[in-house]
Amino acid sequence: MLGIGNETFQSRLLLGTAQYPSPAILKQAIEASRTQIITVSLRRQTPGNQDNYFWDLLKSLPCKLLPNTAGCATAQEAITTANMARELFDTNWIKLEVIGDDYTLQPNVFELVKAADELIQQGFEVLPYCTEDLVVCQELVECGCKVLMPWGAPIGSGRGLHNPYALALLRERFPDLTLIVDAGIGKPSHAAQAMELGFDAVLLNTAVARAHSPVKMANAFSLAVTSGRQGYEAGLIKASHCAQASTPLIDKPFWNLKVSKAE
Amino acid sequence: MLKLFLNGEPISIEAPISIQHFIVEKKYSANAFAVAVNETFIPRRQYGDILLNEHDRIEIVSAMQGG
Repeated sequence: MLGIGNETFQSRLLLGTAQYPSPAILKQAIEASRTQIITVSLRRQTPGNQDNYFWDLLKSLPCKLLPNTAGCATAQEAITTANMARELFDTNWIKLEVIGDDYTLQPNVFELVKAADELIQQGFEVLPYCTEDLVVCQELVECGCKVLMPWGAPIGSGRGLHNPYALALLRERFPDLTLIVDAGIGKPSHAAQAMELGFDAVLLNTAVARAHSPVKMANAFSLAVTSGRQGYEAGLIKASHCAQASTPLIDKPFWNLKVSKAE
Repeated sequence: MLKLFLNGEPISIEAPISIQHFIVEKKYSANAFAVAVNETFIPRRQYGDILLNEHDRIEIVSAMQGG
């Protein structure tokens, strides 16, 4: 079971809700993914706009909402956005994003730690979108984060896990923390790899939303996450440089006849 | 006339009014938005207490798709 805050979830796949071809496909993809947690955002609303189909859709889904602070560039901006999200979505969960570079959307980890520190004091359950840097993660844990969400690769890039060594190290150094790979996942095999490293979950959006068939891809990711997790729990064998025969050779016919290649 | 900014766009109001009055006048959907003024979050319970003033920057946001 995936544990976040004082809640547990069967599904280890968190799904973003942006970029789908239509609201109907978004809904079908959410169902096919079997996710129980979906990410949402905040945007300016024009005056007099009474229609908010997305709001109505959210209310119809049996999913926990995880609002984000996408696009925020400073701690203060993220803190204000988080407070608006807490009231609007009626949750103290926040996917904390503070972006430091527009080209890579790499988190500004200095502002991120500052914002995390303040929001935890304000009673938020902070899920920080961070880099895989060990010391940054230590700082986030120090200020009270119980969940870390290091990137696999830049958001929407589909490049997979750039630094599996560092991600594995995070698992080793934070055995009791909830670790989620957030961003950069492009293929189901990337998600399986993250789960095989012992991560508790993966969060993705673009790989499903921009697939030729988002609904089919959502199912594929669901299977990959389950498969990767079961592999991790089953205990993966250690990789070796040499072959180790899987078939016993004792009493194989002719096993005691030695033929020299030199003859 | 007082000049303010709503979601980054310049607007005018005739006299200082409360946020509560402002959102009713602008016909925002009940409970489907959140408000910040001058980059500070304003809890719903304070809408009636806070008056909008000249040059205030009001942000009114609602739910959107996000990753």
